[in-house]
Amino acid sequence: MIRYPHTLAQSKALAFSPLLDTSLWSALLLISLIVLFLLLLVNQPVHAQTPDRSQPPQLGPPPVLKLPSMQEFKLSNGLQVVMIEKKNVPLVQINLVIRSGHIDDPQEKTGRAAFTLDMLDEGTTSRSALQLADEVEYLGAKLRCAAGNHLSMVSLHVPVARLDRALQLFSDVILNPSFPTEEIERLRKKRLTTLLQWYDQPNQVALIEFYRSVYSADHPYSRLAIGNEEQIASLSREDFLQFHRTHFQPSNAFLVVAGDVTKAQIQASLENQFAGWKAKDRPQIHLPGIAQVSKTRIHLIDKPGAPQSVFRIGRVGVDRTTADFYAIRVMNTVLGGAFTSRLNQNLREKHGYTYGAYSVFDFRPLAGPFVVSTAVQTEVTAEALKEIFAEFHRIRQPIDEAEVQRARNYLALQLPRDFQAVDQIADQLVEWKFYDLPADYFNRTIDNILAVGQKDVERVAQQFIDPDAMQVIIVGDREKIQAELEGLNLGPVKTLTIDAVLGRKPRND
Amino acid sequence: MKPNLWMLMTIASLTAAQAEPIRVPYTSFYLPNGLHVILHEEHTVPMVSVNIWYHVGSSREKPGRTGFAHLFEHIMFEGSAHVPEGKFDEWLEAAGAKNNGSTSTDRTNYWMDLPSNALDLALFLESDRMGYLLQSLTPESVEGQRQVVMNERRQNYENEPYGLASILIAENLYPPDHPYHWPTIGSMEDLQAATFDDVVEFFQSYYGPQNAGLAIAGDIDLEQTRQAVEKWFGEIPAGPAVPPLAPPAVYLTAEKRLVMQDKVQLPRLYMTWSTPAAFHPGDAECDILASLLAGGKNSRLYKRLVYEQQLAQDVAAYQFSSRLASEFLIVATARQGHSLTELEKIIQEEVDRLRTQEADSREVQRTVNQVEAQFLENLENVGGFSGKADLLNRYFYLTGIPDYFNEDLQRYRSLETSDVRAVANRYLRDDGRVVLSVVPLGHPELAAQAAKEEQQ
Repeated sequence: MIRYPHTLAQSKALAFSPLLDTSLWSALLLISLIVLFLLLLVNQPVHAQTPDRSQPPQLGPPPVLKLPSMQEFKLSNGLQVVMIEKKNVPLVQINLVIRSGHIDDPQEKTGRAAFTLDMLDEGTTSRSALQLADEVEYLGAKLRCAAGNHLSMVSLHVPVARLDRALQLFSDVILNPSFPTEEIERLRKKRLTTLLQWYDQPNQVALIEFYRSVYSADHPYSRLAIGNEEQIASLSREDFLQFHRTHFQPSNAFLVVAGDVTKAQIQASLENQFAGWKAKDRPQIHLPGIAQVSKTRIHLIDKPGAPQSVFRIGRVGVDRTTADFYAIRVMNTVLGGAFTSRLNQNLREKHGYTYGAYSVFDFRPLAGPFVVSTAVQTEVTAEALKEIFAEFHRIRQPIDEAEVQRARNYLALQLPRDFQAVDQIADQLVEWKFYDLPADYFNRTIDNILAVGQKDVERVAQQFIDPDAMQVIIVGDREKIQAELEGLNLGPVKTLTIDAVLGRKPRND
Repeated sequence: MKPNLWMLMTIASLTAAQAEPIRVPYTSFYLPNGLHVILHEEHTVPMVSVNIWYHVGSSREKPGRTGFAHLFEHIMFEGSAHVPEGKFDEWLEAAGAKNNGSTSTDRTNYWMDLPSNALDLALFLESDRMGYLLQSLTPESVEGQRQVVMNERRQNYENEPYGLASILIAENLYPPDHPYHWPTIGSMEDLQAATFDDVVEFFQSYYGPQNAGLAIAGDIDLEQTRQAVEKWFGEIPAGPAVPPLAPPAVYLTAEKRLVMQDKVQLPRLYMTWSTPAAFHPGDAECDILASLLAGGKNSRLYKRLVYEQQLAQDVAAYQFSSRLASEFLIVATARQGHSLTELEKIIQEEVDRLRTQEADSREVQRTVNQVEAQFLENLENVGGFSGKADLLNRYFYLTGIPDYFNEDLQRYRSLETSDVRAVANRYLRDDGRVVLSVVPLGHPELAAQAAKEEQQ
């Protein structure tokens, strides 16, 4: 039993990080060192004191996070590499990022990128699926292949002593996948069964309906990357070969390295593995524009007998490159991005309606969603929804400076946590490189967060949190909750069944 | 293990660079009030994790009060004499800290990960709730957390497919007077019944410094930290000694077969045995057995059930190691058109094979190599669940030695294939297990039918 759901603690898309000293902190550090020196001169006797509990201890200035510098280089074929050396544990993480993903799938071939990536380690021209798995595991390595919305990634995590052998497997699945027919059929069955299992999972049902109702049907953001039954059934080996041929090439990719290796070592090893990989052109895709949710409406999906109602509530947010990136993150931290956020305090701590409530802006290259997630006891469904909307209204009102300060500090000062493990560091580098962020991005992050003021928070709340234009998805016991939901007069209530959301159940035997 | 020549060469080359023992250097001491303290200095990033284990979990609960240890964990965040309600989390977040806690059958742990300048704040908060929790606690805040925990149960058990399976398994694996018989989340009825007096009594019985371990890891100065711990925790009086638990033996003399209907699309089979407690002889072997059965594509059950015959959507095997006894669990979900009887037949064959034949040495080495890599990963994070501070406390609680990392790893490195087989033979018995079928509503025919019954 964990006191607090993990999901909230990790707003992965947001986590980004600081480094190096900011001028203010350097000055504070210097002052504190001088004070410390003067105290030492006084030569106080050392013994256990009685603690003063009348107020929380006054804290000195926050420490400075010093990270080894980023290094960038290119292989002879133009493949770009960015790395951070980290020496304290003999592990290495290497990620190959392809700048293509789910959004590159034509509508009728939704699921192509995700299926292609899943197939990479199911066989190469020289190794079977079982051989690959055996060799990877024997090295104590982890090899993962997965597609996201805008990027696809093959990642390797391995003890440094076994890096060279693992790199051969890493490059093999990237360069020489063979897409064996029998493995395609095996994974196809597995995916269809996954679709079937969604009928049991209210969170999954809610999410599917949320994306579908917030984004228009012609935009890939309206669909899940796995595809539906028809799409999964129709994808062919030729589709995977084509995706691989078109998108897997050095001019559409970059590598990220974090761990216990030097640049000289890793450059030679990567050159060995990838030098023969040649660049080609890739087609540009054209995506339709994204329209905002026009008015508040409720989609109620019936799950008879459910002890809780599962909520997804939100609208179109904003893209990652917005100038308001930091202001929005601070605002969302106040609203639903931390334990003491208003949504969680209200729904969990004040009312006891839920185990947790949180919100997130999912930043993507195009405007990703803003979404509030929670699950509340069936009997209080309408009351909980009312409170969530009350918080939408309240976040647009003038805000107390102490609350903004807490949110700023929480975002800015916890960042060292994300620079401990090599896979975490690699994640940071992937985002930095993918979005082509400035060279001093990490150095400026803390300053940028701490520069967000009350007025900024109010302004972005008013701009991005509109209670009159929210899509509400509820999966719950319709008979017990529909009348009260309608009584709230938030917007029209449309009722659906789980079958209507997911379509007919796939048959797969 | 009896490696052939090729294996010897491979193992030598694979382990050469790993030969250095994995060590986490530490200082430890007791305060006069009995609090055990572990300090580990490490400056990779400028943060500190303050991690405390109270050596009490759901195994200490009284009849009619299941779920209480976990409810109490929630109450520990509601403020103390010098920390008004709500301020615990506010002050931590304002300092840039994350924190959480969790409860198991055996212990309750709490951690705060902070920038290193905020160490004093963490020690103030942690010591205040150890020393002065009850002074400010109100029945209202207990009531609030009761509702939160009941929603946690709804979310993770009742509204979750297959969510109630683990509760049914424990009820049947352990006798009623065994402290693992009931679930840590507790029953709704018992959560409702908990009173403010229960809170007072539980705190006074189990939350004294002599029943706790404090580990501080990260960007610290050892001497200053020691003084700070003495300052903040030294004034808290020791509580009463906590007598050891004397659980009855877990010994099934027959197979128990159960069927549960649930709102699920696909039937799922759970096969559970009682196995040696954490760090007892046989425990590490069970980890290896789990991996041989279901760790990766080449594992025996995955390969047959999921990869080759495609009867199952997934299969997993685990050794859940706990202080008084462990559980070895095999779980598999049948694909459409397949019954759990088909799955059980293959599972039975593979369990039999583990008992009768020694595993291939490469198979075992593959698992050990993965375990080694996991040990390296464990050294990367100082905080959070399963970070170094948490592991130092865990090792101390279960073995008496905080830096047990290398000894723990050696348990796996030194295994022989004959040891693994012997443990399978001794513990994975047909006449001492719980076999649970969870089937879609109205479809009891999909449950696993015992092979012997079919033959009759």
